[in-house]
Amino acid sequence: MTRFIAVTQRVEIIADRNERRDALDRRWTRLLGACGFGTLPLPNDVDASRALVASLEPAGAIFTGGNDLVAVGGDAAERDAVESMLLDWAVGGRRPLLAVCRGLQFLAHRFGAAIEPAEGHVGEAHWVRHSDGRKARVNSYHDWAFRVAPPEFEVTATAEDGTVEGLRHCDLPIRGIMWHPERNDPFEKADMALIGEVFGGEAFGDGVCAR
Amino acid sequence: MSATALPAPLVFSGKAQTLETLGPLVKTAVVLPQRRFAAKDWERNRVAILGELVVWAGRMTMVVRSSAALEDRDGESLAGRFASVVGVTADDLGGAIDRVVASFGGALEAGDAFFVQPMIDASISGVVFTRDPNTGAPYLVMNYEEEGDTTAVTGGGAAALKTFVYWKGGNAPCPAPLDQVAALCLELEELFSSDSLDVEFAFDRDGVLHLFQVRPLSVGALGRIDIDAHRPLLEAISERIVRADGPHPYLRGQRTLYGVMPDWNPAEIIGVRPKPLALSLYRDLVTDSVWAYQRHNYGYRNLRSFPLLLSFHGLPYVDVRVSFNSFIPADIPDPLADRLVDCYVDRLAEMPTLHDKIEFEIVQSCYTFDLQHRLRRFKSRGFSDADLERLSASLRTLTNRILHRETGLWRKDASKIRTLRERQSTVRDTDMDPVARIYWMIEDCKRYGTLPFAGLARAGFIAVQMLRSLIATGALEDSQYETFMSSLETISRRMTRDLGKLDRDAFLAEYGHLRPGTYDILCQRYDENPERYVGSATRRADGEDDLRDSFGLSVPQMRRIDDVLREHELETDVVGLFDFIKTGIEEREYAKFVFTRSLSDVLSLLAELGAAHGFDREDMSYFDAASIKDFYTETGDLAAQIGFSIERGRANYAQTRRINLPPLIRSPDDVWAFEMPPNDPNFITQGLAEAAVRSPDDDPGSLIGAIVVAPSADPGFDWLFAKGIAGLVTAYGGINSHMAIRAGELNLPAAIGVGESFYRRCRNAERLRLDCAVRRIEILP
Repeated sequence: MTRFIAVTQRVEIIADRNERRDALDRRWTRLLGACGFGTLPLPNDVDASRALVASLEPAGAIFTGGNDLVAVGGDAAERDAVESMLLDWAVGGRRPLLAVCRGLQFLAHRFGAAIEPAEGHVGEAHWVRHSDGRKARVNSYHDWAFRVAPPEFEVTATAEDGTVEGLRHCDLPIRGIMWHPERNDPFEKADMALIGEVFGGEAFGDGVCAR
Repeated sequence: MSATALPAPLVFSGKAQTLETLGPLVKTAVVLPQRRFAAKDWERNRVAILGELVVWAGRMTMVVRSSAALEDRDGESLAGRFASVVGVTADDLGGAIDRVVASFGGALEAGDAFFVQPMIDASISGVVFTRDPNTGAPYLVMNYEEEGDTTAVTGGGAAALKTFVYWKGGNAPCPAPLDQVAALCLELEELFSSDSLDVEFAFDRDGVLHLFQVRPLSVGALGRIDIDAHRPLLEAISERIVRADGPHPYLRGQRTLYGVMPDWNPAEIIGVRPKPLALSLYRDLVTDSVWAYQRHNYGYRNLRSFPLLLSFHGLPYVDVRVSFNSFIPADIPDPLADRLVDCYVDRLAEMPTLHDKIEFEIVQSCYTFDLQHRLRRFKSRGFSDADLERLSASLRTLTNRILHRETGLWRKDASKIRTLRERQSTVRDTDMDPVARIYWMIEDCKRYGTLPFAGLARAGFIAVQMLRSLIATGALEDSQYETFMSSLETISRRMTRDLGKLDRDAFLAEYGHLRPGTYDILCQRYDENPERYVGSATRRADGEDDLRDSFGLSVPQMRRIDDVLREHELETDVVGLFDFIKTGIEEREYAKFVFTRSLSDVLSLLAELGAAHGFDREDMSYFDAASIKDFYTETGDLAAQIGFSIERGRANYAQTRRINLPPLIRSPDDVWAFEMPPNDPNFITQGLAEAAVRSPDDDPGSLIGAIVVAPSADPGFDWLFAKGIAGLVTAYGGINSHMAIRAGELNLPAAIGVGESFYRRCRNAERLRLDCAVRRIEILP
């Protein structure tokens, strides 16, 4: 049986129709499919999403990109609410969570990190240094960033300007990356390996940090 | 250099902090590890806290508890106002913490915290007070549940709670495993330098005692009394019980017990802590001598000069052996009587819950059609067929004498009641001084009131037993019992009818002397407050009384009953039997109605007598009715004598209020340590409330000044206290339940855990009188 991953969606505001739509880049479905998972897009309605998660018991959750955090002036409070709920669900239940771009900002912010405006991170690919010493070129589409990781986390990737590009929770199966793995064509092997690692149920966390 | 200083007593610093401080200090119990966080940090650091806890807890089940800044400070406990959530897995942790934090209300204080502990698998869990908040006396009051969770005790759920009461001076051993709790209490009292604590505990499956909480206990209005001042009170009772143990030359049976419910049931009639006036009147009118005269007259053993009631510092107890002796037919030889009394006493000692049903379940005091069946139980208790034949024959002779159509004593008793009515008018219409009037009212009430009433009560009891046993033998249909009972022309039926028929003055002339607490001078008569009693009742009166079925027997049934009577050698026929049954029951009720008029008038006259000498009713409730005889026979300064009697009564009652005893005392040790029977309501405070009944569902505005009847003692009902209610009654909940504690703090009269069936009756009542000192709830019309 295919295992599903709950995926949060961006809120698109269609002003002239007075609509707030939930939207998901189709490349997410393809990426997760390529990794062997089904996609469960969650509506930006906290009660509906809570019910879905409770009854369908997905293997984990992905916070996708799009929308600014309410804390930095974003206009999609309903999405913050859904991701808050999912964070409780993931942390409390020790469930896998991958936070991408805005998702990582949200994760870091909720763990107490200070979010600041980012320069030169929109549409410009750049190099990051992984904690294992490896250097890689990644895409970049974010206006906000942070420099100091919350104490429970280990930094797994850093941009050349010193902002955090990747995080790993020391004790829980929670990872975050600033780049968009779904936007590469073909998908990067390293990103697919990361998804496999997070959701595949491999040994994770529990003292892997060099604290 | 200073000498070695004593360690300073610990102070209460919020539940969690207190527990953390205690952790390394307490030797007699385990304090579980905890993780504590400030409530105000929760929203901001939610996931970080959650992550930390999940990692700390691993797969264990947790308890999330509150530790409020307001809670547990010395002198103030907000018991149970804040939520705690048990059985929490990591998955529900965020929600559980949300609920706990939400229970702090809007504005969080700096000291408001929540903390998480491992949840243990409890085999016994409970709460113990290191002082009885009602009496202020040095008892450990342990409320616990076996195989349960801790919320059952504080939430007052329906689970069977046990209450164990243990005097702290250590005069009797505390049974295991509660002795560990007692040791913990002593240790905590020393650490906190306080003798009034509220301690939450549990034993896990391995029998390890865990400490969950300690907080200061607020002691009720009476204030505290210390061990050395309290000890002599209990010692006197225990010594009295020791002295009375063993054979008595004039009594059959080796030993005795003491109960508040057997026989003339003082708990029901005057309550367990009656005021001195009520107790002295009850003794004089019934239990000192009248009771024994009646039993002897009706063919039972002669117990004259034996008081039925003993007063343990004002708590009335029936001497069970004396009572059981009085139910033995007079012609039973002493050796058999000895064995019967011992058998009865042993059975009650084994099954204390039968204490209010002794005449049904324990003693055999009259002949019935199913007597042989009832006596079968005695064979396994060492009684021979000859013994039982002897008992059966004696009961038959005795019952035949009572039943007799011409010479049956109850006929004479019924006519005495008519004499009392005449004498009531005579005493009222004759010019006498108040003391003489009271004296004669009491004397007439004994001779022509309570004595014949006691006889008619016996006749009525036998009548009902006969009727029931006719059903047991199949001679009468089950449904005919109800039909028969509803065909009776009883005084209460007549009163209901008259309430709709008579105008108020005429109604009060006939029924105005009734008062809900028959012996209680503080309780108003109908005619003293017709608005309260009759006002609400008149609306309900209607003509449905006449719709009742008429009772009849078919000719074959009558033949069958005649055959049964002959077969059992009962010297009456079906007509005579049913005449006896009907008249027996009706006359019993009527007799009570008439003698209580004398009693009620005596109370009114005593109130007047007091008022004439500057004493109000409250003062007079401490007066000793026996003084009236002295006033009648001696000269003296009346005002001073009344004052002296009241002062003495007050002093005695101050002791009465400090005593806690079990409903059935089986040994001198029971004075120091006892288990409370589960269905005994927990009366909180020693206050009194009399008010209209409301339910928590009613319009909140209507709750002011009302007695609220609620299903449980759950903290969810806490808001009731803000509504200015006069009293509280709950179906479930122990002495340590949330509402019990809160009612105690607010000095609000409450009866917690009255049981499902009585709860329903209270809920359907219009008005209640809740008298916590005497432990009574009365349903008012």
